[in-house]
This record gives sequence, structure tokens and C-alpha cells, in this order.
Amino acid sequence: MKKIYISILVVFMTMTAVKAQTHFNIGGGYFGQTVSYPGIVIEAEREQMFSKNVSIPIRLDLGFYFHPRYHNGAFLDLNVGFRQYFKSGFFLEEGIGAGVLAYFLNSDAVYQVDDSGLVSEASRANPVDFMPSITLGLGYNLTQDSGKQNLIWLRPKVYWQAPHKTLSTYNFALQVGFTHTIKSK
Amino acid sequence: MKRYFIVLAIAALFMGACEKSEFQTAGDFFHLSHKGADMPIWVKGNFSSDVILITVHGGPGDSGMEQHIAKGFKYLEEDYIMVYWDQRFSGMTQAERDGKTQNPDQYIEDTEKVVQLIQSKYPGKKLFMIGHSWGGQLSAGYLGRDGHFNDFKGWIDLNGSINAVLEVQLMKDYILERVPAEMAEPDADLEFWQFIIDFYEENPVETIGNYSNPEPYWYVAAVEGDVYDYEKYMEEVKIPYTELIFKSMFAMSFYVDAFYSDETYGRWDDLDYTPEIGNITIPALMLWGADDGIVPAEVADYVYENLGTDPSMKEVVKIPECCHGPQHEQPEIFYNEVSSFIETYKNQ
Repeated sequence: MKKIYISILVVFMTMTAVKAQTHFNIGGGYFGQTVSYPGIVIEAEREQMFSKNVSIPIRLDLGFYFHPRYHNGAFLDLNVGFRQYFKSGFFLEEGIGAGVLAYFLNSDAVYQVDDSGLVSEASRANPVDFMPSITLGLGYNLTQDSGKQNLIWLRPKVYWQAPHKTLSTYNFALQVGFTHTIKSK
Repeated sequence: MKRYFIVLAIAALFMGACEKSEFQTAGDFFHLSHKGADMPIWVKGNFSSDVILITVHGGPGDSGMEQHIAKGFKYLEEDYIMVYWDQRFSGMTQAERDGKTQNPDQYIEDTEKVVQLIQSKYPGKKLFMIGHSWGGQLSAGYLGRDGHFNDFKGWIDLNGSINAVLEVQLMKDYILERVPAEMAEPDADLEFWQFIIDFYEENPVETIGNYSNPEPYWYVAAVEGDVYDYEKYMEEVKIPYTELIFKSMFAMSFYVDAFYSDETYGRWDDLDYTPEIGNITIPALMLWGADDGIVPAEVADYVYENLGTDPSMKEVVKIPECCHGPQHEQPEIFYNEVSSFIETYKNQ
């Protein structure tokens, strides 16, 4: 499955030689870790159209979220994927990402106890984790016939947190937001 | 009109999500950072009490935060300060996967740190410890070493493990005693039950890992030795899934996390804390589901016999019609026994 996926990716990437147009997009939205733990994501995207309906977006996401009594996370990740537009205005997309996640324990305090039993406060911060991810998306283009797209989208995202969590241990997030084309060429 | 409905539905979803739950607001919640693990500790209950009951969860790999869901523990929260904590590589503990720190001795050291932290934050309180299943074994190992028991007024061993080889044998006896009755049922799956008999013929108890080998636990469940009355249990134990998923300290990762692997479970297989319980001399209550097949009730008698405590201060209570989870299955009896034990010994 992975091989097929990579092959398709390579084929599409090479097809950019017959590209039509490039959009430069910015956007942002709600980032809900496990849906309900709130955060914000902002994005900058280069969308390479290689037909009227199909594109390869390369997107840089910067975001953070707050999960009470778990942790607060801040991340930066680069996503590459496909986007398929339909005549109705809807589009589907999927992407894979790689980035970094810094997290800070969210609780009243963090303590450590030394060998003699003395208690002191410890740092909430942890070493930065590698953050691979898979994102799916469903959206709608509000301005289909315009050169400058305005997209609304819903993006479920599954991401990992290595080495602090094993590969079998994923996090889930739901993103809802808006993307606007600032420049096309 | 449809658009307004969608907007309203989304707004309602987010407003509902914003409303905080007990899991996010009640009590004190802090982390203990020790040797690469950030272990959450939740202290809640009756803060005017002079008694702190430190719970030690089972598994290994379960969560202390879930203990709060059990009715029996909720009752205790009315009277005492309860401490729930997640052990290393368990629950919502956040830690780098360092195999070196995943061993029973490290868990005992972690328990020591948790107790020291609790003593520091809540000085002058009378401490009791309750350990369930693996938590019973961990609390036995902790209390029995380095005189730790001296900091406590009493110990409650709730269906706790103690001696791996003994328990594998008792589980086998428990299962094989019940298999003939199962085979005599009119619509019995004879092949399945014979498979269990064959398993024990082919695998001597010395070769069955008490923690790393899951088969005996499946077979115990098949003869209904994990929960006495499953239908009643499902009716009475209301797990607040929506709250747990969307409004708690739990992240999705908890639901897919695991203690790790059979290899790490294997480090628990040969545990025998019989020498440790010989060192313990504080009051102790061995509280058991009489019908438990996971840690059979004979283990309670074994702990009683080997515990260093004077017979006048130790007791075995086996709760009828109850298996591995008295705090869920018989919460009123569980509460009465635990609170009566605490009230008896808190001032001694």
C-alpha cells in the first residue's frame, strides 16, 4: 500500500511539468485536539495546479492547542498532498506531514523529588518531538469562478509524537478553517 | 434555514465542548517528573478529612484516573482525600520509551516518590494505601521495602497479586474446575472448552507467564471469572465516555496506548513479593471478590498467612457474588469495608 502511495505521489510530482497555475494561499482555523481541546492553526500554502481540478498543495502549518490536565502543544509541520476539486465546488484532499511538536505539561504544577525526599518544582517543558501526520480534508470553494480561491474546510488529522509515544499511539485532531488565495501566477 | 441549523449545531457542539467537567476541574492535579516520566496525580475528595487514601492502580498499564469512575471510590471521596495517579508507561503518563526504566523496581521507586510528594504537599495527614490487582502487588513491594510501611496507618489489598507462580496455578484450578459444567451445557462449544483443557496439558504452569501470557485471562473471562454478573455490571457501571473523550485529561492516545509488549510484561512474570509482605506489620485488610478468577480468592489467604502484621490487626474479607472489581461490582460493601477499616485504625 505504501509503495502504491509513493508511486502515485512521484507520478503526480513529475506531472507538475505540465502545470497550469500556482496559487499562494494563506489561511487558518480551529485546531481541536481530540476535537474538543481547543487550539488554532495558521497556514501558508503553495498550491500547484496541474489541471483545472487537481492540485498538489504544499502547506506549512503552525499551530497550538490547550488540553487541560494533559498538555499544551505547539507545532510546526510541512504537509504535502493532493487536492481534487469537483464541479459542485466541493473538494477532497489528503496529505502527509512531518514536523515538530513541543509540549508543556498542563496541570497545577510539576514536581520532582530528589534522593533525599526533597520536593521542588520542575519544568513543564519537554524535549521537542518529531511529529509525522496524515491529514484528510473535505472543503468547499466559495469563489469557484474567481482566480482567487476562498476555501472552507474540515480536516481530520492523525499525528504521532515520537519518541514520547510509540507508533501505535496516535493523537487525533479536527481542524475547521478557511483558506484564501493571495496571489496566483 | 438549513444553513442556520448547521451554524447552530456547530455552535452547540463547541459550547458543549467548552463546558468543563469534573475531570478537568475537581481537586488538585499536578505531575511528578521522575526519570523521564511525567506522571499525573489527581488529589480529590473531602479535603477537610485528616485521612489520605493513596490508590495504586492495576494493569500494569491501566490508569489511576479511571479509578474515580468506580462507585466504590466515589463513595470514599465523600469521606477522605483520595489520591489517584498514573504509573510509568500507564494511563496519561507522558514518557520517553526508555525500556531501562520499565521494570518493577522502578515502579516501587516511583511509588516512593509519589508518597513523598503527597506527604510534602499535604503534611500531617494520616496515610492509607489501597492497591488493586497489580497495584496490590506494587503496594506490597513498596510497603515491604525500606520500612515504607511505617509511614502508613494501614494497607488495603484489593484483589492484589503477590506471587506469580502461585497465581498461575490457582487460575488454572479455577478454570478447569468450571470447564466441565460449561461442557455440559446443551449448546456448549465442546471444541473451545477442549482447547482450554489441551492448553493446560501442553503448557505446565511454570511456563505460563502471569503477566505476559494473555490466554489464561481469556479463559477466566470465558468462565465468567472476571465479572460476576456482566449484565448487571454493564447496567450499573456507567462509564462517561463522552466526558472521558472530550472533557477530561485523557487524550486519544490513552485509548490506543499499551503497556508495550510481551517482552516488557515478561519482566513482571516472576515477581514474588512474599518476602516483602513478611516485613509489613501495619494493619491490613485483604478485600476480595469471593468469585475472582483473575487473582483467585485463595491469594487473600496466602497474603494473610505471610503478612508480618499481628493477627489481631489483619483480616480477610471475601465479598460474595463478586469477582475482580469489588469497587464496581459491590460498591456499597466495598465502601463499608474500606471505611470501617480506616475508621478503626486511623487513630491507632
